[in-house]
Amino acid sequence: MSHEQLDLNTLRRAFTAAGPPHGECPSPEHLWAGTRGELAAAERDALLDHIAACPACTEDWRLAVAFARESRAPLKRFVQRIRRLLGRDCDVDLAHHPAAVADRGLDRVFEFVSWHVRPWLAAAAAASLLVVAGVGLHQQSRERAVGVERGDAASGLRSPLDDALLLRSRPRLWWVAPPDAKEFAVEVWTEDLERVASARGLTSPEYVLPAAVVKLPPGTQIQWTVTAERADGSTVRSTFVTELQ
Amino acid sequence: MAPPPPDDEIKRLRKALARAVDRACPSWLRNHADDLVQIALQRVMDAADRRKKRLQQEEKPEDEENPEYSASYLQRVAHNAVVDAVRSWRRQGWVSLDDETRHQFKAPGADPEQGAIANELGREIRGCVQELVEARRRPVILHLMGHSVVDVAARLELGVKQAENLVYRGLADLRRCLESRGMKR
Repeated sequence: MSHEQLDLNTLRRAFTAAGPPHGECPSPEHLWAGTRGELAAAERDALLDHIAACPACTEDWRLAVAFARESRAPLKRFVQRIRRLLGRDCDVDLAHHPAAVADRGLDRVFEFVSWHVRPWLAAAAAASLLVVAGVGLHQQSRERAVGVERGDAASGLRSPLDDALLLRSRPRLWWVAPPDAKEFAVEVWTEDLERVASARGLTSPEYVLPAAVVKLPPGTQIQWTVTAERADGSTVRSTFVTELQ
Repeated sequence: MAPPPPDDEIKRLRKALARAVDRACPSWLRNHADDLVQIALQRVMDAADRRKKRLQQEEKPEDEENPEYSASYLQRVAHNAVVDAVRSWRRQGWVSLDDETRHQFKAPGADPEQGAIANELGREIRGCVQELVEARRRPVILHLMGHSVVDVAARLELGVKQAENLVYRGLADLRRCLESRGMKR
């Protein structure tokens, strides 16, 4: 049998096939925290080791991931609507930008504009809102797509705290950076784009939130931008959204 | 006892919970989505009640808005209700959704022969995963559960390149182990 015969899809299907539980399964709360990157490393590893032996928990993990993904849906819908307004050729990806996630206020304005104003005006209004919010939206010709910088693949900056819950007992923002990143700057905003914390010259990919931010009401969404300076002097940037427990 | 939330608030909660359950619960459980939403709603209200009592005992003022009604909290409650139902079904073949009504559940449909083959392969994969060196084991577990290499890196606090190497080598080890156990397509 060649290695290609058991392709990744076959392995995944078999590994995630439903089956009986194995041993004592973790609580749904624990699984939920695990899928959202909220467990300490030792707890996370123990959870994954259990899942490796327990078909039932493999299914439960996938269920938790599906719920976590669903929690991102309202934001995605907002971005899709902006895309539709600005035209099919536009490539606007705002999912991680503070302005995009200040969605409650923007959403209401957007609803009003899109129902009561002509579409071209709606597009202009939507674009203006984003510019005012400091998005730095670069509108170009139809041939040259509209784009907003976003992290992930483009920047190499990622964090499991994105769209996740941050425990107050561990108010540490952390991220994965490109290997040649040597210094980081962090800025933290509330939903209404008030800057509540910032730091420069960080040499490790983490930042402990100051007490003033930790004391914000439960459920507060913070948007935080990491700017990484690379060895060649260039910078990459990514913005994440995290809810305070 | 604390007064119940106003009707409008209950409707809003029910709607949010229904949306979460509807979009994420397994298809075979969807016929019972209303029951799951009701269970989740009851948990939300019970938690709110406990919180109010605690605040009263501590003689602290009640917040004007209940912070536990955040979207993230409702997602978590809905998730927990669904997982509890799935586990109950697994344990007993049926789920007691409340004290009065018991609903018979059908197992998720599957071809028995294909299911047996998948189960056997699944067992062997789990056996081989246990034999992987520790550094490669967890990246492989996450990748087998459908997470991309970038996601694996983020979840395990690894560099993307490092995660890629661990997943690639771990999968190679896994396939060699399966081959040694005679697992063929």
